[in-house]
Amino acid sequence: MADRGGLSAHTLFSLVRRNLALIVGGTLLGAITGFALATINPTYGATVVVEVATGVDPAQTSTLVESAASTIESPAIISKAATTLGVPDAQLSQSVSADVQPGTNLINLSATADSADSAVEAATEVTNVAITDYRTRSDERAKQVRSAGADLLADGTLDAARAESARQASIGSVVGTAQGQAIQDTVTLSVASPALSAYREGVSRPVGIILGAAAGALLTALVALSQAWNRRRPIRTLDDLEYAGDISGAPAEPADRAAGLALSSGRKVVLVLGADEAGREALARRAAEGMVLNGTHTALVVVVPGEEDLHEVGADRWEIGAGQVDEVLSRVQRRRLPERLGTDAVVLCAPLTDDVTLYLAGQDDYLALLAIPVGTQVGRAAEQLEKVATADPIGVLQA
Amino acid sequence: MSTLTAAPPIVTGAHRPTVRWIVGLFAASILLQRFALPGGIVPVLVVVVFAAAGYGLHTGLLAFDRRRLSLYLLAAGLTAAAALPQTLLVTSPLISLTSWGLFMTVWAPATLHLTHRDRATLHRTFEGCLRWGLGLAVVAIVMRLVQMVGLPYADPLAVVPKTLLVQGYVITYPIEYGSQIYRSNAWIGLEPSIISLQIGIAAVLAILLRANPLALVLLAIGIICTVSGSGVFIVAVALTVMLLMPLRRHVWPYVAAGAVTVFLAVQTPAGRELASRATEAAMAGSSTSLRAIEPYRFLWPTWSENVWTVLFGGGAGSSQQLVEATNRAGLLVPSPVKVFFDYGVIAGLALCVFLVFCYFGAPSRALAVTLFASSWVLQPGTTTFVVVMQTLLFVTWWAPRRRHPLESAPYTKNERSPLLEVSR
Repeated sequence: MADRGGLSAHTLFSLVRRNLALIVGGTLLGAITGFALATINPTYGATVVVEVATGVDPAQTSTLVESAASTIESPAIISKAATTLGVPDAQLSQSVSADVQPGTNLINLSATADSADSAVEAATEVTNVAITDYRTRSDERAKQVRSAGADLLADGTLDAARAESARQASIGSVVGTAQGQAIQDTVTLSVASPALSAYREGVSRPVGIILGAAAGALLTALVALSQAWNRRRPIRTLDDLEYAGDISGAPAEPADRAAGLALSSGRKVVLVLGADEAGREALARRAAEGMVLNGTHTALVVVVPGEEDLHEVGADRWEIGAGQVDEVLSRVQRRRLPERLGTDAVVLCAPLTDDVTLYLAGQDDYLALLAIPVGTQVGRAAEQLEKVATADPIGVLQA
Repeated sequence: MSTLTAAPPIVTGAHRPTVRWIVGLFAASILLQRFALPGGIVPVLVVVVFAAAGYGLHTGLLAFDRRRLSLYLLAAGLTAAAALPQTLLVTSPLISLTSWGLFMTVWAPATLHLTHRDRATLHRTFEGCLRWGLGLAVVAIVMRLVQMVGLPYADPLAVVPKTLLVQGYVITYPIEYGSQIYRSNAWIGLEPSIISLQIGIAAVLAILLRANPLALVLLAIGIICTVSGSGVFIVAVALTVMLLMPLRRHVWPYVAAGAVTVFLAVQTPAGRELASRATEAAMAGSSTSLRAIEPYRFLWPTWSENVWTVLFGGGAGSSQQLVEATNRAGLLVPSPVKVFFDYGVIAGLALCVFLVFCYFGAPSRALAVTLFASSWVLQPGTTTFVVVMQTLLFVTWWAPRRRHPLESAPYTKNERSPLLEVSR
């Protein structure tokens, strides 16, 4: 016996078809929401990759690159760029970020704005201001060193020509070293990759529509399927039973097929079970009549309340009290029953009580028909079918 | 009035079609793992699995699992909807429709389960897969031996246009710097680690089927030839789970065989190399560290600095984009990072529940735990289809099973295949 709990593709698709309006509605709602959100307040981003060049020991490079990133975001730089761009300092400060690419001397300088052009302009302007700022400071530093050297040379000139020449050579050497050190310590910024175009932050309209539609479709499908899988749902059609998912089965067929299925199964004992007495007996009579019509001599045995022994109440019609049910339901008695009643087959009609289940559970030498009245909860019907699951029971829905 | 048969329809017979179907897919996962559709982005295996799933649904081999389908719809719906708050509230979200679509496509087959999941079907299927695993181990060993006798490594698929091969993987590389010997990928593997993983799974199957311990020795040598810890991890975790369950009575011979193999292996260069990797997680820049530790260190500050990012995520594929921007070779995005960084705590939790549920109710607890641990700790397992496929083939499609797991009700001698007993 295969494990249960599956839902065939056919069942799932028919479930989706039944709830198509709901799912399409959810999809449209999601798509509209996605479109609206992508349209309202769009934000664009642009990134310039800035390279930091230093002449210092590579071990110190990372510190200088981090410092450069901080400097780029500093109020002095932002303020100058904001003045050029004509936007408030605070607004530009919020939209600009400088992040070091780990393990490299590259900085991603990103700017966001409400238009693509503005984002590119902002990123480019901040970069230019930062590069100029670094260049200016580096020039100033070199200038300071040169100036200090010139002052030294101008002060304290010696009278003796040879001594003066030696003094100038000595000072020149010191100034040269200082200038070299200044150049070495200089950090320069350059553009490794300019912001040629901006990218849309968040979602573009097509992506917003697709993601919104997907979210709407998936979540409404879940709602629709969950309703169908509700085990407390009353059964209106056999589809309701199948959609419950615990019982996967064949498409619904007329009850008249019950007799045919009984004959085709080759079983000599057909059990008609169920909680509703009238529905159960009607189904049992119909099955027995169908079998007789097809040429199989069939007896109908009905389990009734009481303690009465098996007794005949009509032509090929028998009754037995529920207290004596072991006489016909125990495995040995069940197998002998057709012979005992002088027929080819027996249709045995009984309630699916715990006592009856004890005789049947785990066995499959009989055909089980389960009468299920319309309005029975899905979970209740599934429980009853589960009791005789080994015999692959056939559920019959009764109006 | 109408009737309804309550038992599942038997359309294609009992276990044989299921066995052929699963074993065929496992074979495909070995043989076709490097192939891609033109463009090199979508692996051929995705198409194979979807075609096979369509066939399975049509013939009744497969059915939708109600619970997993519900969880999938919830997770997929919420992660798609997360783009809306991300756009409104998160600073500079990076939302990739392709990334979301790929994730949901890869996991869509997990909403299915096999119609026939009984013990006999499971046994025959595992046996068939074990045979393929043994074959793979033999090829991995042969590849190593061929190089040892002096024939240099050559990629047999070099003749295939690059656009028809999956890109972004290091097919193989020397066992150590400057060596002429390459890690075994059995010539067909996407990476030595994937081959190691598949041989490791075969080793777990061998133990579950109580196969001849010599089969396990062969598989262990195959793993050693890959010089990859993935297979070792799979077997070690699975053995730990087995030792906690009633199957432990039968596991000891395999533990002994494994111990002897490991002892002998560490005397060889490949074994020493593999053993040296056991503690590499603590070394910055090592393969294990780049997979299991450094991604968290790198992405945690970005994720945790903004409450909206924590709640709704940085956007589908954002973790991958940030990791790629570092230009650090080998830095991967582990599954927990991908789930929670990209989709946040709310949608990420729904996705996480679905993904974890895919491992529940499996016929083998050891396989479920070890594949879960591998996918969530070592591999970028949520979107690497060949890894996801192993989970589908050996865990998800067999779940839920109401019966006892194989570790609690091991296969008896009578159930074992004569073929596996032949050398006893």
